[in-house]
Amino acid sequence: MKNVFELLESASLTCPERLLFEDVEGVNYRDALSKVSSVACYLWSKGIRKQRILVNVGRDFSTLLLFFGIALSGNCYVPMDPTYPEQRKKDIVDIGEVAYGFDCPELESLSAKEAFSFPINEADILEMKAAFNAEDPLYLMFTSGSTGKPKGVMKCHRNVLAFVDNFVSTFGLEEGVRICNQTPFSFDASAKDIYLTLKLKGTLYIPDKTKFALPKVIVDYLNEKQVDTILWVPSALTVIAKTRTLNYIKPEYLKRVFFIGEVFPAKYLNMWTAAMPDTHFVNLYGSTEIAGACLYHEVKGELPIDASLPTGKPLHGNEVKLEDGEICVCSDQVALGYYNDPEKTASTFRVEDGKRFLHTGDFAEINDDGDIVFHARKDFQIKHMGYRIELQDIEAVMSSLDYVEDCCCLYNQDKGKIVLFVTLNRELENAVTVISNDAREKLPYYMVPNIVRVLPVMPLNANGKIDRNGLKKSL
Amino acid sequence: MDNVKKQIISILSGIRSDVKDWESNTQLVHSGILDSLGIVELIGELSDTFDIEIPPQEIVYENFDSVEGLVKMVERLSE
Repeated sequence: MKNVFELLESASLTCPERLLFEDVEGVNYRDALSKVSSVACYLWSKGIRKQRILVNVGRDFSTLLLFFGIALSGNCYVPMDPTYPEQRKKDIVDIGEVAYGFDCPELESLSAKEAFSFPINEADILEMKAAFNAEDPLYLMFTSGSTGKPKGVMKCHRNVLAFVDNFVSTFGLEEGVRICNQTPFSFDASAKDIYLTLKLKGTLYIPDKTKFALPKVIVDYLNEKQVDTILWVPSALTVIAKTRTLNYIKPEYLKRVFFIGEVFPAKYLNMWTAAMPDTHFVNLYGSTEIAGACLYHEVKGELPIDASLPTGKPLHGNEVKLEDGEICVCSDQVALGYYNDPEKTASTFRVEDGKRFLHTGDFAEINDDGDIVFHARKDFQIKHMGYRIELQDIEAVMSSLDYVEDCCCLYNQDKGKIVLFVTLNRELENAVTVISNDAREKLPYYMVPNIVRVLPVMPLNANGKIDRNGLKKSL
Repeated sequence: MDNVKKQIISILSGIRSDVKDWESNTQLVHSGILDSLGIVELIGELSDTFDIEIPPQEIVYENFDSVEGLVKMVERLSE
């Protein structure tokens, strides 16, 4: 295979009637194939080739059909969270050199409505297929950058196709899986849900985001849809455990729980494994620079409360080793690089004998079982609600507020809260409220500090720098 | 204002200091004002303040989408 579209095409030949996606409505494989073909023909007819096309993502399957239509036509999709602050949206468009977008008035606008009903031209589709190349860009995903500007990671078709093959063979997953999506489609983790569903000719359920705030409601949903596989961030699972929901109701059909993106506190993981002894719980490790995941560790039995869960061993098709303690990955899943940033790409990615290597920036050790155990980041990166965040990125944005003199952002790992310390250059009434409101306006929701502390003076260390360690002790 | 209601609004304001009008909003969960982190925090605070236990079957839209729903739930669970 050279294009992810072929996953959809082959599935729709064997199970045209099967449900592919369901939000409040559903779409089967046959109808999805037809809609995707329409979208591709719409783009082709406009002469749009090898472009990056913005899609404002929602929790609906139309978003995904646009992704595949863009992929079939040989273009590259750029998922955008429409709730992002204006400046971040602008940065993404600028850095990604995005000229086109679906229903984006500020760009060369494309209409999703027109695209979905566009007549399919078989001759055009054949031309598109003849041009398939596994190395072609598939999607450009933006992630937090240390300078306050987002970085765009470019992945190609081969990356995603290699991931689904490697994942399915590692875990021996069967066809017809029923997956429930949790992560938004503007978040790289969601690509696993989408492409594993297609690969396994399964069904992806896309519940309304608010259901995740109400543990019983989401568990009822999993049972109603008979979901057997989930790939969620630990915080979504932790909420269910914290509210003791599993004592009352369990997701009856769940066979496999994969979690990724942050540390799953052992206390809450134990509640899950105790409540569901026949379910597999697997810790995954990956980064936006790799399609899917590259390390896994299956959790067996109760863990000591202070245990650090290994990130484990490589998935099939991945070579993972430590170079001076840094996790380095070699596989077809390693992304093409950072778009428009050869310097950063050269410092993170390397190609040798046609093999792609990634330096993750994550430091680890190998334990007695030969498992890789995550240790620390080499920078100020944190994982919060499953998102990768550079604390300096938050500081850069908050420093830009006219009343802020100095600020320092830290992460309280135990409580899962981002804490912002601020000093002001003038009197500010209701300072905490004002700062919180401005943070909500200027930062994506997952980067907004949970706690704001206004200090009379910023403590400095002997080198005259902000005393991060001292502040850390006051968390 | 009723004491329970007052306390609940004060707890909610501690979780989302940017929201001013709590009483007329009947979509607290549906609109995303209370997300999963907010709900967990709210449950903790309500349990401590009113010395109640909030079982999972009570954590539903009807009880959490409005201040009125929260008040009714707290009153019922305090009995």
